[in-house]
Amino acid sequence: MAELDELARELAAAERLASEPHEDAAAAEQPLVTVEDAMTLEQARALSGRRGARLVLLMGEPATGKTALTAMLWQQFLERDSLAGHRLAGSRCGRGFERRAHWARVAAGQAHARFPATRPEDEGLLHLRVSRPDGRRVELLFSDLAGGRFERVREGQPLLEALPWAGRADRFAVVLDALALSVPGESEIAVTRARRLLLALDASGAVRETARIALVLTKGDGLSESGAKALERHQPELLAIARRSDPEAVGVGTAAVALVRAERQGLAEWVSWLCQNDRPRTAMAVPEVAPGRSIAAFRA
Amino acid sequence: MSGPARPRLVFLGLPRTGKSTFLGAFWALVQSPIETSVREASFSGDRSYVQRLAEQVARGEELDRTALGADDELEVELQFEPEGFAQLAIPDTSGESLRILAERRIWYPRLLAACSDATAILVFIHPERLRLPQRIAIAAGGGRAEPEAAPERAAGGLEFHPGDPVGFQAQEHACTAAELIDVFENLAELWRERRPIRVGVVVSAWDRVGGDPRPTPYEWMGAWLPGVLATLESNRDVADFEVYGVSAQGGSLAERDGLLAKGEICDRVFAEDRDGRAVSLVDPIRWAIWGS
Repeated sequence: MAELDELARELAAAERLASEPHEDAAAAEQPLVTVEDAMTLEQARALSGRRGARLVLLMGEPATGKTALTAMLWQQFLERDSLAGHRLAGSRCGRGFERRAHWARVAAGQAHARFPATRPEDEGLLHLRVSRPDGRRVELLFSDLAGGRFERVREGQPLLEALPWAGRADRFAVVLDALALSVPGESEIAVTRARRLLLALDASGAVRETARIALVLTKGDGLSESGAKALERHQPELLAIARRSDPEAVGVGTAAVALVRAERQGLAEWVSWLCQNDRPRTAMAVPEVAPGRSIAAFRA
Repeated sequence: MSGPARPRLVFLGLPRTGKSTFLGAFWALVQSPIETSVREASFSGDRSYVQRLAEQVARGEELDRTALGADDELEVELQFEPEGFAQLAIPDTSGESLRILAERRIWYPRLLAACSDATAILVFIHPERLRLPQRIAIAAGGGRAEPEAAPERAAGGLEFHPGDPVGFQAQEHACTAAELIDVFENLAELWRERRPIRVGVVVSAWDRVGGDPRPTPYEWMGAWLPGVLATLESNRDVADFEVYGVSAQGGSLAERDGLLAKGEICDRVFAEDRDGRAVSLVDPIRWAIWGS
């Protein structure tokens, strides 16, 4: 008990040191480059200005698995050395990833992984540095936004009005929920919602010539036979819409939170797509250096 | 003729990860005539602190926790064979100061000063004090939830009682790997102007790491902290990386009589390099000073 008291006194003293004038105050004021949770646009600008960064806009309605997809990529990197040759190389948002991944861990005390909805006040960008098989490091900034934003876009609000910085994104991932796809009556709604987001993306003019689009199937291990048929029926049309803006648009199937005792699926394909080179600007392929464009030009 | 190297090493680790024990055992080896690869080149200076640590290790005693505000430091001129002389400085940083950085997100001034001046860092990890990112796996057929199986890891498994959801508390739930990656990110920023520096991982209490065959220190990191291993190996331009397994007591303090029966410190302690080859306990410090 005495030791605990002593420790409590020391911790209090440490916090005073950081908050009060002190001969070592200059040292204590050294800011951390890592953040408490997710990055603000301002913090992302600072990172991108120095290192270049790739902005990933995840688009999907509430409870479609956007946050889980991002959190489980982090989790996978903590469990495995590499994913299709891609390795973790750092993060300035480890705490933010941990907060999100927590809901798929035993410590959360849940019987099933269940992620709370992202609230507007929790929105932000999650930074992940990945080393590609060729050794090049890619700085990824994943948007983690409340699904409600995309409800409004689906209902007609222009994308660039809802998200003024969407035009700076390098990767657009429109999410299609396989569980919803597998429920009679919900299947068509899920497809329509994804279609409308793709149409909104196309209409916005936000997709630059070097950016890429993917249609990402989430919760893929929950796909029923009827869901698979619905996917087979509608995916070509959805990809055709995406390819109006990105002729190389692809579909990526994922099961980031395995529902049964099974391997997660699709994360290797997902990270490979995220880290591949941008589309070349001209017909002649231009070797990519660091992401040349910086999100320093973001509008807040 | 060039002067001695002037390395400044920092021992970094959460509380009770074996930093002071390692320092005490290292100092005992410096004093030991049996260990011929390093010796004290100059006898002057205050050695009371490390001498006390070495004596506690010799007696098989639990070492005192390093106080947060402690300003003890080993500063000594050593001669390494065959590398040469080094004016070595190792401030004894408290594990609490790293906890404050990792959990409360404040640079404790003494830790910041030590890390800013460091030429190399040894990160201490205790294999039995890891917080793992243990994920839920659901038994096929909709059965009850269980911790994800990790037979090679969680000997004995974890108790798991699903109930009310438990909200995230960083101090309780952030896994060790995430904390280390966070710390590394901030260290990399400190060293921006003078990269690369050396970062050695010292897995302490190596005598308690089991397995048949026992993994090498590198394999152990790959199995338990793959994200940390990948991060360090992916940033070679920031930091040279090495990993060791060390037993700076040579066994468990709970079996003190048996431990002491093994002999003097130099007879008890042992270390392995990344490939599992037996090396001197001095080697992590030798590498931190001189490199490979």
